Amino acid sequence: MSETLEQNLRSHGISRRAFLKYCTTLASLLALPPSAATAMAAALGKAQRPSVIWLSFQECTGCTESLTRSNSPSLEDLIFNSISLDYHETLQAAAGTAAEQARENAMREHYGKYILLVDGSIPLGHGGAYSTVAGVSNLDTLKKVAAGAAAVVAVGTCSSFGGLPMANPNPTGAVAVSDIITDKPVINVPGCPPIPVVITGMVAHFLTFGALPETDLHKRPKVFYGDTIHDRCYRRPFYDQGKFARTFDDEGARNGWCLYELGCKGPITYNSCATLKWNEGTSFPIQSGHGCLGCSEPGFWDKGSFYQPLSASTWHDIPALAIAAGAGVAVGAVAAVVSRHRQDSTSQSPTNGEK
Amino acid sequence: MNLLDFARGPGLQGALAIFLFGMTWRLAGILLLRRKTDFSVARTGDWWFGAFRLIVQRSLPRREFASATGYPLALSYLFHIGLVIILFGLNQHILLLRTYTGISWSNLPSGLVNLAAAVTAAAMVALLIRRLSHPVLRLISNFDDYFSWLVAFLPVATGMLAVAHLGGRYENLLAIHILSAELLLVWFPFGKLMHASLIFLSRGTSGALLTRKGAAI
Amino acid sequence: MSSLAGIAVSVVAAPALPSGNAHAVLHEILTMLGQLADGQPGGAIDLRGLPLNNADFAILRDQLGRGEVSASVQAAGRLEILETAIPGVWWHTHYTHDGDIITEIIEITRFPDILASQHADISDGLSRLQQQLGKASGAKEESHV
Repeated sequence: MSETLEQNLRSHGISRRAFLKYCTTLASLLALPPSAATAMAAALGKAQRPSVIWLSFQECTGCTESLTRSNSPSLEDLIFNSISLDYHETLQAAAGTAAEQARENAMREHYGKYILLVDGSIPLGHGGAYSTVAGVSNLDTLKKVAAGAAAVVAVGTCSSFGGLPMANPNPTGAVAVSDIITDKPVINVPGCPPIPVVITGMVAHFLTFGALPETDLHKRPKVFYGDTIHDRCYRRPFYDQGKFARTFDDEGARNGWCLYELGCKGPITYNSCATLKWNEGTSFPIQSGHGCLGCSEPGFWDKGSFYQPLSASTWHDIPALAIAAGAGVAVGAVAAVVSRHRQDSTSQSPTNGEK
Repeated sequence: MNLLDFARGPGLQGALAIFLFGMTWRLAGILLLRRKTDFSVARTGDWWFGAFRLIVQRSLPRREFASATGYPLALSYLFHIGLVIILFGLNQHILLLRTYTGISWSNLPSGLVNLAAAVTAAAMVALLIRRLSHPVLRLISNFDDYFSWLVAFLPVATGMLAVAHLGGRYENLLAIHILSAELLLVWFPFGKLMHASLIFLSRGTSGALLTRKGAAI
Repeated sequence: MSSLAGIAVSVVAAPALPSGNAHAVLHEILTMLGQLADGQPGGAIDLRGLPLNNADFAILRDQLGRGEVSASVQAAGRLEILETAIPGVWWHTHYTHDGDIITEIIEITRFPDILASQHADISDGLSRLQQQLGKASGAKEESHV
């Protein structure tokens, strides 16, 4: 446990030069100046392998899948080989009471120092009975484990904003981590799933600087969620020219034109997919011909159809509008009747009587 | 629900309901009025032609007043045409109209729409300056004139900012733009903007009546 | 695969006009190089963190050119370091194992640090060499250290 990150890397046969190269890339990813790479190398090299506890609540394991699908060996590997992942229900070898014991031990040994990663939302309905692990509700587990954490990273949209479980009508009473944990630094790394390097980047940043990076109004790190997908989209010139794909198989779609008309939520979605991309930098949804779903934004499930253009209304109740128009006609007719009555009475008055 | 969700959902639905209610109220109220019975013998039977003729004629500058009305008339034409280009030429607007009408058409290139928006905004500002600086015009202008100008100008201005991503986060710019258009819809039937639907009605009526009487128009 | 090949897909590359940022980068390089010439430390520019498109990169490559030194390092993927035609301006390109570019940096320095053998690696190499020679004359080596 006292082994430093650098010693750990050396034992894996990774040279100092390779480590410096990693740190340069890391600095670049975290939008730090290249000069910060040396400082990062010094800080990271001396860092003790930190204890990390990963709790999974109402989730689909997609976030873990994302993390494990990272390039190998990569930055993500570097960080995750260098931390002590003491509890992760999906990845750990231990099971049952042994697994719970491992978490208890890690919490006791590193109380106040471990990093807590959470994926999944927390159900509050029926006293939290909708999701339990080892007979303990998610709510109780989160409160207990977060109490000893140095920082909490909410991984994925479910733990960041409630995500799919919180979608209307939210049957389990799901809430986000930041709705429960208010006395600790919490950072949201939303996405369905989030980009792997964004997850590890937060851990690396915390290891290097002892603090979480600057965040936006939704507690997302600005370095990765500072720009919209639209801002950095390679199809942006087509949007600016007004060239749109109308269907998924028309000429425009084949030419790679803008997917706005097919419901792309890129203009209101803050994430790094357009620059960091997915699957080892291969592609991202828009490059594959599908609009952005807006998965890193709060409430993205309840913003109308994924295929509804952003400028179109989400609520067009035509019968209600017809009723409004009918009511207008009725009020107008009453007004006309009153006016006619007045017309009649004035035409009978002596001044107009000569007609 | 954030501002944009409100603007795209209940906001737009509510604004449209008020717009339709107000429009039908006022139009029904006018159209269902009793027409005064005309006991005279009609000079000609071409009422419809007369109605059409006056609509066209009054839309063109009269030669005698051309020097006095040319400038505001040109500006007015410019911004009205501009508004039509923006409303029916920008793809984002076509997509909105499609959700209600089910029909769509090809959009114009964004560059052309942007140009139209710039010209429209400039023409509207020029007309406001004229209204404020012309002594007679200022005297006869009331709250309705200025407020109607404002609610027509805001969607143009906020739309330009949203397209250019200037002045804030895009979701907020878009929300403000949609809300400004909703303000326009709500105000439309109750203020001077109603001229858009009444102007041809009143001109047509005058044209038909004058033709019936055999007056030169 | 044959059925997919029948689908006509012609992706039109988005037109890339220079954004004007390339000249901003060149002027930053000029300032840093001036400092280096005065005996002060130079600096580095992370090209990935800037909004540069392909046209901008072409301008940078064209203006900076190729110099006398080119080095290739194998460390967690390839790392290519070229001196540009402007001495003191080095162009670093970091590749992943799959050959994708992950970082591009312009460094203004007399000699890039990362090319020098690192102390930690030197001591590792030393002990490795000692082990190799130690098989034959372990006791002798012990006394040297």
